[in-house]
Amino acid sequence: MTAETQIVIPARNRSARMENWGRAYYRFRQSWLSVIGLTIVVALVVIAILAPYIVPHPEHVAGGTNTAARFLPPSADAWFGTNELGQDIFSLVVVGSQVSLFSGLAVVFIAIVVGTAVGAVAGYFGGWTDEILMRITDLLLTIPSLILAMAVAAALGSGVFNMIVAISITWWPAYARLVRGEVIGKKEEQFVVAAHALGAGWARILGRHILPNIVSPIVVKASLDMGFAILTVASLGFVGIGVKPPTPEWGTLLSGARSYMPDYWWTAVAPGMAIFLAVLAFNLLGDGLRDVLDPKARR
Amino acid sequence: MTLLDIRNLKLAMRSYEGETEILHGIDLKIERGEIWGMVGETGSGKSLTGLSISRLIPTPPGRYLAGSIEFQGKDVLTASDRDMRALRGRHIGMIFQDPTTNLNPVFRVGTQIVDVALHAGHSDPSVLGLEPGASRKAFRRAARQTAIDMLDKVGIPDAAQRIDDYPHQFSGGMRQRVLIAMAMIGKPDLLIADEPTTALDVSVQAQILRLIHDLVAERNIGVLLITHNLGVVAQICTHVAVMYRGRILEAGPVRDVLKNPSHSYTQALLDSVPTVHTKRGELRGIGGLSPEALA
Amino acid sequence: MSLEIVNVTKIFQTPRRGMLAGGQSFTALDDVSLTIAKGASFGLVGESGSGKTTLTRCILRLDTLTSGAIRFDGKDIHALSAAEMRRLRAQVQIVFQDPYASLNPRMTIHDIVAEPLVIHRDVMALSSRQRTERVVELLLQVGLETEHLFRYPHEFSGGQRQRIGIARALAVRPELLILDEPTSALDVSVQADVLNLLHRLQQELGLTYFFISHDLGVIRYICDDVAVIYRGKIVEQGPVAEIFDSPQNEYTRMLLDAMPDPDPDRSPFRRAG
Repeated sequence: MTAETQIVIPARNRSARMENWGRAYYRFRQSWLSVIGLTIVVALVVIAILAPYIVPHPEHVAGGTNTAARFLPPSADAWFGTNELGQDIFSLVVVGSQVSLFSGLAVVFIAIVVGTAVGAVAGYFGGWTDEILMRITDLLLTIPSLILAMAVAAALGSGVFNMIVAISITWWPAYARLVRGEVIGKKEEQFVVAAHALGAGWARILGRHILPNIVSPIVVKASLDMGFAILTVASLGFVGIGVKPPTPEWGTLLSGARSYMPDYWWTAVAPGMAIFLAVLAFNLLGDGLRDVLDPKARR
Repeated sequence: MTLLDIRNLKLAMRSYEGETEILHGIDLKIERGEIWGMVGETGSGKSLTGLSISRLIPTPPGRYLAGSIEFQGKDVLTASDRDMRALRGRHIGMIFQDPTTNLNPVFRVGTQIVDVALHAGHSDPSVLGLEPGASRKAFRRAARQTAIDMLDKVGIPDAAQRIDDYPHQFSGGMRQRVLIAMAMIGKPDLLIADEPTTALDVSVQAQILRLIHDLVAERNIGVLLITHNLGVVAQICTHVAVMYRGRILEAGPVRDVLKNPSHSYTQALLDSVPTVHTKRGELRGIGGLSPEALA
Repeated sequence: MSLEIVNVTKIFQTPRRGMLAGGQSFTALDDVSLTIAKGASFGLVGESGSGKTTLTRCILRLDTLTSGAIRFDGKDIHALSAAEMRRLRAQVQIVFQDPYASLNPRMTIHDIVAEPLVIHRDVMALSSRQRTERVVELLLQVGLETEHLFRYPHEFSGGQRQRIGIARALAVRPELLILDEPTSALDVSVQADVLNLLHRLQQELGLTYFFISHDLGVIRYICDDVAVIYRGKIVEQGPVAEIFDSPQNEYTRMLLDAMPDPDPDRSPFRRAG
C-alpha cells in the first residue's frame, strides 16, 4: 500500500481503561452496603500499615505491663479499657490487625496462585491430567483446615509462617475447582475457537484469552474468602496455635479475655468487634464486587 | 374503543453517562384485527416501546418524561401493580426472541403452561370455561385441558403426550410455539411479539408467521410485531411503523409505506435488503447517514 | 483449484450412558463433495443442524473426519503435520457469525488484529512497529479509523466489530476466507455495508470465499456458486442463477418460498386473503 508512509499511529490511550473503571465504580456505588464494606476494608488496611506509629501505648504492644492499671473500663484515656496486665486494649487490637489481615492476605494469595495453576491446566487439557489433578484436589478438600493447621503446628512448631502454609494447603483446592470450571466454560467461547483457528498454541490461549477473562470470579471469591481467612487465623489464635504472645493477635486476645467474662466484658468486646467488622467488611465488598464483575448474578 | 393508544411517549434511561432520553415522543394506535410491524435498527427503541406497553421497564433506571399508553381506555403508566399483573398474561400476551432462554429447563412444559393458564383463570375463570367459585380441582383439570388445546392449536403434534416433556425435548421452533401458546392462553386482546422468529430457521419462521396470522384472523386480536426484518413485515403485517433513534419516522398501511415510502430512511432500509431478486451492485448500505440528513 | 472437499463423512459418537445402553451415532456430514475454485465465491446454504458448522470445523481441522478428504492446493489438510498445519492456517482464515462473542473482550483492537501476525511471525516476519503499521493498514482497509486502534471491542457496534473480525482474518494475507454467517447477527442496513465491503475486498485482494449462510438473498448477492445442505447431505449445487431461478430439489424450493420478500404483494398471506 502506498499510504504506508503517511500512517500516523495514535498514542496508546488510557482513557478507555479509565472509563471502564469509572463505569465499574458507578455500578459498585449502586449498593451503599458495598461502599460501606469498601470503606471499612480500606480503613482496616490503612490502620494495619500505620499501626505501630499511631497507637498510644507502643510499649504495651511490645509486652510491657502496667499492673497499676488492671481492668480499667473504657474511658477517654483507654478507649477500649485495659486488660489483666494493665495493657491498653486499643493499642493491642490496632496492632493485632497486622497479623490478622496480612496472614489472611497471604493465605488467599497462595491459594489463588496454586489453585489457578492447577485448575487452568486441569480444565484446559482435560482427560487424564484433569482426572489426576482433580482427585488430588478432592483429597485435600476433605481435610479440615483447622485440624491440618494443628497437625502442622504439632509437627513443625507453631508460628505465623507454618500457620499460613497449613491453611493454604487446604484452601487452594477451592480455587482449583473454580478455575477449572471457568476454563472449561471459556474453552467453548467463540473467541477462543477463533484463536485456535488462527493457530495459537495452548500457552497463548490460556494466558491471553482464557485467564484474563476469568479474573472476575476469582477476585470475587478472593474478597469473600478474605473474611473467612481472617476468621480461620483468629480461630487458630484462639486455640493457641499460630501467633505466639506477646505479638498481639485478635484470636489470642479473645482467648485471653475468656476467663474474665462477664465482669470485664470490654476485654473481649474489642477484639471480637474487630473480627466481626473485618469479616463483615470483606463480605460486603465481595458482594459488591460480584455485582460489578459477574454479569450473570447482576440484577 | 381503540385497543392501544400510545401518545407522545418519552422515556429516559439512567446510566453511567447520566440520564439520556431514548424515546422522543412515540405515537401509535393499534386497533383490533391489525398487525402492526415495528421495524428499526438495533438501539432504535423498538423493544423498549414494546416493553413499555406491559410496563416491564424497571423505574429506575427508566423514567417516563411524558406521554401515556392507554390500553382499552386505561393508562398503563399510572395503573397499580395489581392491575398490571392482571393485565399481563391475561389481556396482553408477550413473546420474546429467544425460545431457548424463556422456558425454565427444570420444569415440564406442561407445568409451565398450566401455571400460566391458572394465573389467567384466577383473574377470569371464563378463560378456562369455568364459573367463578369452581373447586381447585376443577381449576387444575380445566387449566390442563386448556393448555393441551392451546398446544394443539399452535401445531404441537400429540399435545396431550408432549405436554409432559421437558423443554430440551423440543426443537427451537416447537419451543417458540409453546411460548406463543403461553402468550395466547389468557385469550389476550393484544399480542406483543419481540423478534419472535429471529432465532429460527426460515422454514420454521414461515410456520410461526402463519400461526400468528391465523390467530389474528380467528380471534380478532391486535398484534405488535417488533422486528428488524422488512420481509417479515411485508408478509404478514397490515401496518408498519419505521423507527429510528427513538422516533417513529413513518407509519401507515404496509403497502403505502413499503411501496411508496415518504421518508428517505425507509427507502434506504428497503434498498439495503438483499432478496433473491437483487442484482449484484444494487445493494446500498445506510452507512454514515445522520438523522439530520434524513429529516 | 483451491479447496476440494471429497466424500467427507463425519459421524459423532455420543458417549455410552450406563452399562447396557450403547453409544448412539449421529451423522453430521454424509458424503459431502464440493469444489471451490480459486478466486470464486462459493455459498453454502442450510438451516440449523444441517452440518454447516461441522464442515467449517473440519476444514479448519478443529474436528477430525470419519472418512473422505479435504484438500487445499492439493494437500490433504488432515494428513499434514502440526508444523505444516500451522503454516496452512495462515492461508485459510475464518470470520465468525457473532461479532460479540468472537472478539476477546480483554484485548485492544490492535492486539486482536495483530494476534495472527504474532502467531505466524515465522511466516510474516514483522517487527512490532511493522505489525502496528500493518494493523493500521488493515483497519483502514475495512473502513475503520486509526483512532480505534487502542480501544476495546465493547466500544464498537456490531457492524464495526465484524469489520474488526474481517481485519483479523485478513492480517496474514490468506487465500481462502471462510465466512460463517458473517452478517446474520447484523441489522440489514449494516449487513449491506459489510456485504459490499466483502465484495470490494475480494476484488482488491483476489480472495476465495466460502460463504455460509441461511439467507438466500445474501448468498445470491455475493456468491457465484451455491450448494444447499440438508441434514448433512448436499441436495443441490450449481451456479447461483441456475439454482435460484429453477431449483430442482424440493427442499431448495421450500427454502426459496419461505424467504420473506420485502414486497407486500409477494406475501403468501395476502394472496390468500
